[in-house]
Amino acid sequence: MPEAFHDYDHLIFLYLKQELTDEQERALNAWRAASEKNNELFEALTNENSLRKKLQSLHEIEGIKESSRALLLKRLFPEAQSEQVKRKRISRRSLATAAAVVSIFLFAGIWIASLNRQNKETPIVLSEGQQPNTDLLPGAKKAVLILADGREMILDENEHERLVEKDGSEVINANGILSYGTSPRKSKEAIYHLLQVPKKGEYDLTLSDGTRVKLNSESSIYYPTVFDGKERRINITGEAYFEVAKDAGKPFIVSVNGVEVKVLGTHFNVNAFANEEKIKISLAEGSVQVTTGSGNAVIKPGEQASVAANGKLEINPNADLDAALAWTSGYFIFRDADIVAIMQQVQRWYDVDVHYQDAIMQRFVARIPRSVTAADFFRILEATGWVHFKIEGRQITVLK
Amino acid sequence: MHILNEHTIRFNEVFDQYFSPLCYFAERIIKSREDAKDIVVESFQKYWLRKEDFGAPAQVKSFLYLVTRNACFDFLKKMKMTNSKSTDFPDLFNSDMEETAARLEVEAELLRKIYKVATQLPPKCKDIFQLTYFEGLNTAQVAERLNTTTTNVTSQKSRALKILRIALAADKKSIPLLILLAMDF
Repeated sequence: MPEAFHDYDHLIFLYLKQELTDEQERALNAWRAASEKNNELFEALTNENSLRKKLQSLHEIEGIKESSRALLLKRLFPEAQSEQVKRKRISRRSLATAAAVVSIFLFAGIWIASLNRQNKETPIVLSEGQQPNTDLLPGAKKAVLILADGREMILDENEHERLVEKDGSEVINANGILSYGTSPRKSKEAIYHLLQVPKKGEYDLTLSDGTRVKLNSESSIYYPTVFDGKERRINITGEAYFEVAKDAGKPFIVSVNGVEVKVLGTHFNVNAFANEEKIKISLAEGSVQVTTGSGNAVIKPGEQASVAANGKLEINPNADLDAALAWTSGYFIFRDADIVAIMQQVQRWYDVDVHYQDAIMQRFVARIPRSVTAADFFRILEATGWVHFKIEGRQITVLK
Repeated sequence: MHILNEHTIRFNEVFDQYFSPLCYFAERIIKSREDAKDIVVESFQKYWLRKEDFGAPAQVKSFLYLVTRNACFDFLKKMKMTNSKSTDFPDLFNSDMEETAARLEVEAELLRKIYKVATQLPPKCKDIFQLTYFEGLNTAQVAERLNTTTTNVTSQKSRALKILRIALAADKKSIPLLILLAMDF
C-alpha cells in the first residue's frame, strides 16, 4: 500500500533535523515496527557510510542531468530552439576598450584601514606606476534580456535600442538603463521578461510603473512588461536595489526564494545570493513587510532583516546600511569584514575563483571603487600586511 | 545556452527538482543508469503533455514517481520475457514489488532534500563537503584537490558540518546526523 509510505521521507528528514514532534516520532516508530524492511531502510538512511554512498550515487546522476535537459528542451520547445538561432545581438563591447577606460586614476579616492576591533582608519595611497592586470578587469554594465518568445538581447551601455512587445509596451535600452513605457496593455495575457546580469556585470532597469531597480552581478529579475493586477509582483535572484514608485493601491512585492518583501513605496536592497548563508533585506527609506514560511515582520529605515535557510527571520536594528548599499553607488565598503565575506563579492564582480591557503583572522575596513582592476583591489588589501594574493589566471589564492 | 520564458522556466524548475532523484529511483529498480535515464526523460515528456492537469506541486511529484515506477515495471517485465534465464534482474514480480518501489521513493526523496541543503552551504564549506560526501575523498585527497592543508580542510569540514546541522536543525538535544557524519574525523 503505497499510501502508507506517504511522507515518510519527510519524517526521516525531520528526524535528522531533530525536529520531530512526539506525534510524528510515534508515527515514524510505528512505521519502522510495521516491517523489517522499513526498519532496514531507516537504518540505511541514518547511517553515515551508507548515506554517504547513496549521496555519491545521486551526485553522479547530477553529472548526466544537463544532457537530458538539453534533449528534453529540444523535444518540448522546438520553436524556442529555432528562435534561439535567430537571437539578436544588440552590441558587444570590446574588452580592449574597457581596458583602456579602466585605469589607475581613481586611486586618490581609495583609503583602507585595518582595525583591531576599533575604528582606527589609516589612509593608504597607492603609487601609480603599477600595471593593472588586464585579465581581471572589473565588471561593467552588461546584461541579457530574454523576451517572452525566448529571444535574447545582449544589452550594454553603448547601444540605443527600442522595441515594441506584442502587448504594445515599449522597451528602450539607452545609456545602460533598460526602461519600460507606461502605455496600456493591448493583449489579455501578461507578458514577462527576464533580465539576467552575469558575473562582472550590473544593470539598471526602470519598470513600467516607474520603479527603479539596480541589479548586481550574477543576479536576475523576472517581471511583467505592464503591472495591471491588484499588486506589482516580481521575482529576483542574487542582489537588487529598489526604489519603488509610490502606488498605495498596488503593493509592490518582491518574491525571492520563498521570502516575500511587500512595500508601498520605499528604497531597499535585497541580497539573496545562493552561496550566501542568509537572505538580507536592508531598508533605506519607507517601510517594508518581510514574510517567510515561518512568519513576518515589518522593518523600519536603518534596519536589516535576515532570513536563514530554515526560514528563521531576524531583525538587526543597527545594520550597516552604507556597506549594504555601497554597490549601488559604485563602491565596495567593508567594515569589520572577514576575508571570506570580502572574497564573496570579489568572485562575483571580477569573475574569479577563490581558494584559501591560510586562514586570515584579521578583519578589514575599506572603501574601494568598483572600477579598479582585481590586481589593484588585491594590492590595496595587501597593504595591510595581513593578507597576500597569488593570481594565476582566474584562480586567486589567499595567503598570509 | 538556455532559452528562458515562462514555460521553460516552469519546466526547468520541475526538472531541476526531480530529475536526479527520479533517475536514482529508477536505477535502483531496474539496475541500469542508462535505461533509467531514458525512462525518466519519457516521464518528463508525459508530465509536460499533461501539465495543465496539475494543481499543487505535490501532484506533480506523485505523478512523476508513478509514471516512472510503472515504466520501470514494464521494463523489467519486458527484460524478463526476452531473457527469462537471466539472473541479472531480481524476481521482483511479487506482492513486495509496489512496497519496494514505495520505499525507494522515500529514499530518493530524502536524498533530494539532503542534497539540496548541502548545495546551499557557503562556497568553501560546500567544496569540502561535496568532495567528502559526494565524491568520497578522504581529508588528504580533499586537501590536495583544493591545494590547501589538511588542517584547513578539517577545520572547514567541521564548519561545513556545523552549518549543515544548523541548516538541518536548530538546537535540539540529540544530533544524530552530525554525530554520524563526524565519525569520519
